[in-house]
Amino acid sequence: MRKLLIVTKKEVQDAIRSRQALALIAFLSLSILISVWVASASFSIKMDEYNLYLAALTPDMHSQALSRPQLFPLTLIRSGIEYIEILGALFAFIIGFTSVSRERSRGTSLLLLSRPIKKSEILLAKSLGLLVIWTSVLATIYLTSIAAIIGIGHGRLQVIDYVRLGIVFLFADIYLLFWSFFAVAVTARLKQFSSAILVGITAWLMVVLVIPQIGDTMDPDNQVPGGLFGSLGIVKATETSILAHFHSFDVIRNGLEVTSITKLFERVAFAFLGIKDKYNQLPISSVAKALESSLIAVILLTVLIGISTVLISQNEETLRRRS
Amino acid sequence: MMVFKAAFKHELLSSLRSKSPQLVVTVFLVLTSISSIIGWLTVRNVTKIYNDIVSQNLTKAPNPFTNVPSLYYMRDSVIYVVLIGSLMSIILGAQASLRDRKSNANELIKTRNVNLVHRILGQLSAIASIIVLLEIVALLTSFILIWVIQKTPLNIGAVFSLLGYGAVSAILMIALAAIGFTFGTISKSEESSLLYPIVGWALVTFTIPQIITSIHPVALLNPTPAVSTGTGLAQSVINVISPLAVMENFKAIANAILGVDKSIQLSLVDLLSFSLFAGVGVMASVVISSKSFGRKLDA
Repeated sequence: MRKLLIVTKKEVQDAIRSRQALALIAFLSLSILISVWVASASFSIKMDEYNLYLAALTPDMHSQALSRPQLFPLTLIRSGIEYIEILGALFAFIIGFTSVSRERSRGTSLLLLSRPIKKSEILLAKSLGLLVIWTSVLATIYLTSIAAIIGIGHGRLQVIDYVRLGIVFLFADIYLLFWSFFAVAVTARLKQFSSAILVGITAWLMVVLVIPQIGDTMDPDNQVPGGLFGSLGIVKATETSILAHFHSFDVIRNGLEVTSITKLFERVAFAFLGIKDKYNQLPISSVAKALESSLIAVILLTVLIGISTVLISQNEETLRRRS
Repeated sequence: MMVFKAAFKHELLSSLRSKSPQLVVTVFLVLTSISSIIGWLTVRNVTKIYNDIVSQNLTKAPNPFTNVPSLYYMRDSVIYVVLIGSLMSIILGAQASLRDRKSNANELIKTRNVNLVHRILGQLSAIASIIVLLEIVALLTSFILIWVIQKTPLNIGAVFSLLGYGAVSAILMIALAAIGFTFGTISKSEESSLLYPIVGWALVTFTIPQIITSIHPVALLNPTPAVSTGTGLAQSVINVISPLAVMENFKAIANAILGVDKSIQLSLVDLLSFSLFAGVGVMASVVISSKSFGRKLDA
């Protein structure tokens, strides 16, 4: 256990020394600040437009006026969550990749292997180190998000909002660990660093960008600006009954989307933050129940890739290869 | 000229032999080629939905896909160039300059009387030829698939639009390959030569458009352009940042050429800033790479 902790500590220290953790915190914090600023500016513009609309109404029309736009503070960090989804995953891959490539290029992996510690223990300790790094980074981003929502977005947070945000960041931790574990597994297994990067980037491209993009394209409501049903004047209830006739196409589209861990993470995060309208203001237990399968899938995928990372150590050449 | 020819030939052979980028090249070719099929399947499904709505007398609005141009099916291809084509080009460029550094060929070249600018131009031209070749394959496949889908070949106007789109896509990818080439020359390690330009690409693709338009980063993946609500930034600031939104400029130009969105007109500003990016990208690559030639890679 002590050996394990020494390697874990070294992993965290390396990340601090190389300023990777600092760069991550800086970038993700900045993206959250930009997101909240852009979203709150956008909301202000919407409010100004609404006030102009109200001013243009004659007094007798006020009773029939459209309802006032409502600000749900947690929705302000939507773009920040998307950055975690896209760039966070890329950075998580880089962190995992560097964790192995650093040891191999410095030759310290050979030194480590000469000590009384198993390869599986080294990889397990590295995985623990990555868990510590990501948890620390995301805890900082959690606090930054709260400060940004209150300070920049002027949002009023209730106790339940802190819990919702906490759940989302805990889940982001699991999602990003998936990418770091994947990077460790690929880099430990492949001979060349460039091959590991190319395989990783191609996987990132497919899972994070291409599969969700194909899913978006296949969504009928994404075909026309403002939505197909909206442009045809179809109300939500009728839309649902019409789409029931095209169930098989939707099953294929949804089936494609759920093969992407990114899409699963997005569904969970958007539901808990109330970005997806149908989950907005629902109790946490109801959201968790509705998203049960996505929650389990992300956790399971991360655990599986974590186990694969340790199992890869059974291979004789793992960690010995030098690029 | 001898140096240019030799470098061109050598780079062409080396790149074609290299196995590393094959995976991303395959993904690019497959997705840009089948984008027409994905587009067609979706249009067919939406038309069925529309017919269902009409049969229930729920709307009198016209079918949104009536009179869409033949190249409408290719609109996803634009996104694939931004996502996959860009990364593929960065990788191809970086791998080309790294190859020399890894094999220590630089040391040998420094002992000879070689014009470095001619040599780099030869290498970049070879990479450009590969990109053009890949783009031709992707366009040819799309041309055939649209022919099969519509049961009639594209008319001459559409063929010219297709060629125009191919040219703009190739220019973007060549510029990015040149940037990748530069990072391959100046970076201390193999991994940083790939990672820095890729992180830069991600910022240009997702962050800058968001700062300018307030559109969410994931909206890039949506085939329908999102509606910008503005960020309250002063127009002068937006004007300064806008040329950096290279991918958005490319998307606007490509969509205008393909005619997939009638609301988008070919803008001179987009065209100029895009050309400026491509020109400066290639020139800067030649200058920086020739000045930094011979740098050793860290172990």
